[in-house]
Amino acid sequence: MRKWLQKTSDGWHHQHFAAALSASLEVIKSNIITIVIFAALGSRQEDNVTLYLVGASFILVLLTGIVRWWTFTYQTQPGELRIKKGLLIRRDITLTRERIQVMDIAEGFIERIFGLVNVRVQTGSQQEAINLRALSKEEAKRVIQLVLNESDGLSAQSQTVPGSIRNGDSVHDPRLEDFSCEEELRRTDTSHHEETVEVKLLLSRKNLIFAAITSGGLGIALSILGTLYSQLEAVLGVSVVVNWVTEKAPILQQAEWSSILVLFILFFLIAWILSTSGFLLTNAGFVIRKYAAKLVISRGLIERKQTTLPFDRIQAVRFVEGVLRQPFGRGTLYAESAGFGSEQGSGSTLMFPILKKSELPDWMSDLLPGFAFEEPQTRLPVRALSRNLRRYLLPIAVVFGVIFARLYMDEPVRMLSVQSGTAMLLIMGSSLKFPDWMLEWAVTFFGIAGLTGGYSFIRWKSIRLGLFEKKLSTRTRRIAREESLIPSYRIQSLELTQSWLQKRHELCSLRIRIASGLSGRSFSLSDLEYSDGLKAVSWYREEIRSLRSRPPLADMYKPDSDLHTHHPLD
Amino acid sequence: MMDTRPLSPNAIPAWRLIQALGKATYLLPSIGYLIAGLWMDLPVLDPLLFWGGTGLLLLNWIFSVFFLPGIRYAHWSYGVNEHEVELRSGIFIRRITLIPLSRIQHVDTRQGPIFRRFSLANIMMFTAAGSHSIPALDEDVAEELRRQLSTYAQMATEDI
Repeated sequence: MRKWLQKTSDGWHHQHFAAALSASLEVIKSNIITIVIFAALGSRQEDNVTLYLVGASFILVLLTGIVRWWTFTYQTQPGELRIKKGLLIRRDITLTRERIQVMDIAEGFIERIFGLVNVRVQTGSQQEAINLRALSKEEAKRVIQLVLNESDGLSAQSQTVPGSIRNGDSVHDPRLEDFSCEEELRRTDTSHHEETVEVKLLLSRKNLIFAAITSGGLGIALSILGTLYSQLEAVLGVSVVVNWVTEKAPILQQAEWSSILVLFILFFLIAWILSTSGFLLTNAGFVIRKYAAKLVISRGLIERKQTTLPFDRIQAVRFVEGVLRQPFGRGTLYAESAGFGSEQGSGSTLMFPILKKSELPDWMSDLLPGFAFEEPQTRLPVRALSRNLRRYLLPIAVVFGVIFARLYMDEPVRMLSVQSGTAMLLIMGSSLKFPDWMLEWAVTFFGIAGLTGGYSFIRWKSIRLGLFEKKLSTRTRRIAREESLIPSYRIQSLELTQSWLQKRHELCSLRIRIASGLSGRSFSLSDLEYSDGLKAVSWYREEIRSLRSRPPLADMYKPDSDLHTHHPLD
Repeated sequence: MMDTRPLSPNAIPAWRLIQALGKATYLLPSIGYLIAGLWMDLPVLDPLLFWGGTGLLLLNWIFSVFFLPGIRYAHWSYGVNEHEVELRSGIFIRRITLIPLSRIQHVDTRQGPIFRRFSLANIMMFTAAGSHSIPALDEDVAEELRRQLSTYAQMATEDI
């Protein structure tokens, strides 16, 4: 039976039947939001219709999985992987070694039960990775070795198991490490690896918990606010803000206020718990290993995921200090790579979830010496701050001015024009008598203005540019502070722009593009001193001349390479 | 700073024609309304709104056809040497772009029907992080440039 299920004629293989279950689970997973909504709606109904529906859709999902499994066959030849799939639309996909970026082994929940693994194949052109599900570990090894059949092409992958393809038993593929304790034991027993781990760094439990707790941050809070707001809008029928404005004052009753507050806290807590547990699930057991020419990152509690990051694909590194983590001097390390990264839909790969900024130099010299961070020195001029303040505060002032004026005009006592209303805003606190609502609005105005002003100030203070020999560093901030290091030969283009407003203040913007994922990534610095911008352009011109071809790969991770000695340009 | 060259002078009439046709489509609703009004009863529009709007669109058309191409031409220049491509453009936002030749993966020339009539072509240069274009070069110049850049591109495909 097994044999029949797994093998068909002409070397076309079916996956293990567990793939059907795994595919079903995937369908459920990708439709989870719809399912939750329907469950919530359906649970109100008294009759059994919902139950039947649930049963029917469950069977349908299972059938989908089975059909997917049944119609999916693959065939391997040296340097080539062919896949046929689809029921109504048959697809015949041929992946050659040259086109395959990464072949990884991952382990899903179902596969774990059966002691099987998935092989993920990532190509440059396909958005989604192709998954060979539920293969035995031996089969996975066989497929990877046959398809990536060494020598040229994917150099970093290829060095994994040189010349040992035939000798099935002694082969140790590092990608198969740490999938189970059993495997781990075997690894330590047989100490003859083909490729040695040069550096191995683990995420300690303490750090994991810290990172999980701080993983949500402001993003979560803001999304909660958004949800809450839209909920309120739906409940009240009209925009709350509009209510406030038309009724001239925040006249929400005390009771409503407290219930909203409770609801808000509840939402916040739920989201926080979700983000924390989600982080724990995906990042527990985080390990990064450095081999001769690549980094291998594995993580996850229920689903182990492994990402291989060949050195020669790394385009830049980023150290991101989230608002909750920055006070503790900690942040997250990412690598940008051509092709796909571990983070969805981008070329970013999480290199390490949490580490101390003060230890960053040590980390980089361990993992990627060529990408040692450099403190960017060039800051924005004070003119840029005043320009930003004007740019952000003026609209707010105008909006509030108009609101003030409207409200004031509606007061039966005085009839004032829009202009005098705005003017009044400016002479706030003079001897004029103000009604109570005005004070509340003033507090709101100065609150928002203060926040915006504070934000522009912090942002202005954060932005920096550093030009060094063979590398460039930037520091930027949206909400989290982000420090990046880009080797100059990885820059795809450098662009200086100057709007006519910037021209008046002798400022300019700089945009540095690198390859990352499908569409690339750009680092933008706005309102630099114009002369600093020009300096960057001529710096890059020089770099292009001195780095016609990229330095040998060895230089990028050999600690003693001359890349390490930097001279800030001036 | 590199010496940069202007685009083909033919760019101005070609852009004029493109703008004249393209921006005219914005005027179509107004024209359609007027023509249709000859035969049938249409809902009466606020004359200020109608003529004001149409007037603005007409002004936009005039500006785009008679002034914009010249200004755009004056602000565009490009330079190529054995190391990099440099693009300078932008009227309200001045822009200097440096693209190292070793980062260009492939090069296209593109030509619409109007450009063909004026023997012009666009050059599109693709890097791993997006594309850049030089608009409106003389056909033969564009072809020569494409050939040159492609040679470099072939040498550079090894590494991103």
